[in-house]
Amino acid sequence: MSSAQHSTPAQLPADPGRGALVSHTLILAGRHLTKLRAAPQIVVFSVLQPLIMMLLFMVLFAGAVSGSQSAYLQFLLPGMLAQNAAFMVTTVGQAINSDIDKGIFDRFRSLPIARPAPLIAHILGDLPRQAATTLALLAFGFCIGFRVHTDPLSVVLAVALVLLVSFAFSWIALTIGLIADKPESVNMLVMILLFPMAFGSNTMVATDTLPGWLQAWAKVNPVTHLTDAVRALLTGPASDSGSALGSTLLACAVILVLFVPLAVRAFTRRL
Amino acid sequence: METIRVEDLSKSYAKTQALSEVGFTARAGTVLGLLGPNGSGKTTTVRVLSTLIRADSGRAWIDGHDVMAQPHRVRAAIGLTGQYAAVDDELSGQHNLELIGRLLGLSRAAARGRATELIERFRLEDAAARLTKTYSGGMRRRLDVAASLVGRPRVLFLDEPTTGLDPRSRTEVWTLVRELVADGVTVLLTTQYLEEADHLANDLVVLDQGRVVATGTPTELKARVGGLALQMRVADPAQGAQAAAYVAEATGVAPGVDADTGLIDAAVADVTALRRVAARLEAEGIRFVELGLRQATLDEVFFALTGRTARPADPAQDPDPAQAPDPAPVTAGAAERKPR
Repeated sequence: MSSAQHSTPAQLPADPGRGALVSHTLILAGRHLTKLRAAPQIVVFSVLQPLIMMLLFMVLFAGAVSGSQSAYLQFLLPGMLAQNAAFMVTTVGQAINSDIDKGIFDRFRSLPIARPAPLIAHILGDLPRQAATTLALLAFGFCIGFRVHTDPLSVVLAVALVLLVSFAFSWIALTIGLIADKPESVNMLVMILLFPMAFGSNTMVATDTLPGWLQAWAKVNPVTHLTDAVRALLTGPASDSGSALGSTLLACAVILVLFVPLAVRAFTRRL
Repeated sequence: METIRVEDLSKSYAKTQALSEVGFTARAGTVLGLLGPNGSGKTTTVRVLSTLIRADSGRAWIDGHDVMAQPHRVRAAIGLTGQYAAVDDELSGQHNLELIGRLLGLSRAAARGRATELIERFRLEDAAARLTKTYSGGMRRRLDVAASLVGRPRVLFLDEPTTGLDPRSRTEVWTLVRELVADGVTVLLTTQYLEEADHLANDLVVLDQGRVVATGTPTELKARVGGLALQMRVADPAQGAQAAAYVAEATGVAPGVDADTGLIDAAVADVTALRRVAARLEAEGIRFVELGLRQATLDEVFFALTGRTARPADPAQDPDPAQAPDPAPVTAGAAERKPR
């Protein structure tokens, strides 16, 4: 190896600085994009599960809930988009746990980079896949007869809202990924936490048809608020989305306030 | 000049004392070997020195920087190759190296150039564009070492770099370490293999249960523990006890006798003991089917240094410490993986 000169450690600042956090996070998040570009079929696999579930629910519940499948699809699709905001974050927990398991995380942590960068990069890096999955689910909905009754801006807002919630849920999955002892247990733990959110809600049936105790839960469940907001934004009237939108944002804020410190704690505890 | 200085490092986990007042130094441009069995504290030491974990007490300096107080500067001076090949399976070899280069502040072009340079140096050209999950164990390890060299570190940590490698890949790693040292890099190498330590290390620190039990050059340590073992078997098992008595007489230590195989085994300092035993057996008319010297195993070195067997946790190990372990070659490279 050539013994070419490199910056001597003495010239290096004692800490990486603020600008470094942004650039290091983006570089590390770029790792996920490289993988997505190399294997875009990941999106197909990600969207397969919600697609099958959507078709299944459509066949099972259309008669009971809305009479016809096409009418039920109008009701169901926004719910599936919201529910999937919870389900699709599992990969975040698995990815970070696998990095830890394989020693990749240790390599990053032994580099002179901003400390939280590998953590945040897992959240940001998965967002493009989550966006592609959400859009694919929406596009499939169109193909089987779902129709938007509002304006393009509302659709953009609906998708953005789904991604904001999946961003917040990602921190839950990340925390679990940091705590779990092996990648296999991540999936199960995330499911245990997110299942009540995904199903104890109005995604498939209206809240007032649920038993009382479940209604109580569904009313505080972020997925319910997200579903309400996305329904109003896609099937109209868009002006009805106001309070649901506010509740969704509040729910995201609560999740972030709880789980960002928890994740950071789990991250430093692993030292 | 000391590039690595470690003073009184202690670290305990819930139930175990991982390190107790570990101290040593390494001179610039040399290889320091940390030798010890599984669980002796080698990896914990490396993790503390590479800023991955904090010690409970004690201090350490890498290239003049305090590991506890200036971790960022330490990270800028080191390269780390852990026990597992820490490369991303879903990225190509080239991408893995470019990613590290970018994180170290190189421009896209410079990171690509540095990656290509290392790919060539480690003879991975043909595989550079392939996902690393398709790599063989030796290739992964080479890429892993390459990744730790992207930043041209002044100090390189190699944690059991040859565990699980085939003999050819192991020799490659050895050659690489010598080249790096020739370039002025200080290498801290952990190993379970006496032979590896003997080949590479200028100085050795022997760890046992989190404590430094011996330090010195390989020659000094071998002189202290003998470094050789006499091994013999007689033709007539009935004469085994008699032969063992002669071995004890000639070597000054009570040999281990395997009840099943009749193998007699004793640590010796040099070849003269072998001559004395051979002469005695001949004089007494005892026929032997096997008589020779072999290099002492790490277990025997440990036994000599600590008075205990090296692997108390190994259920296959004979509980009697006087019993010599199986005469497996010291390089038996079974891929032992430690629990994290």
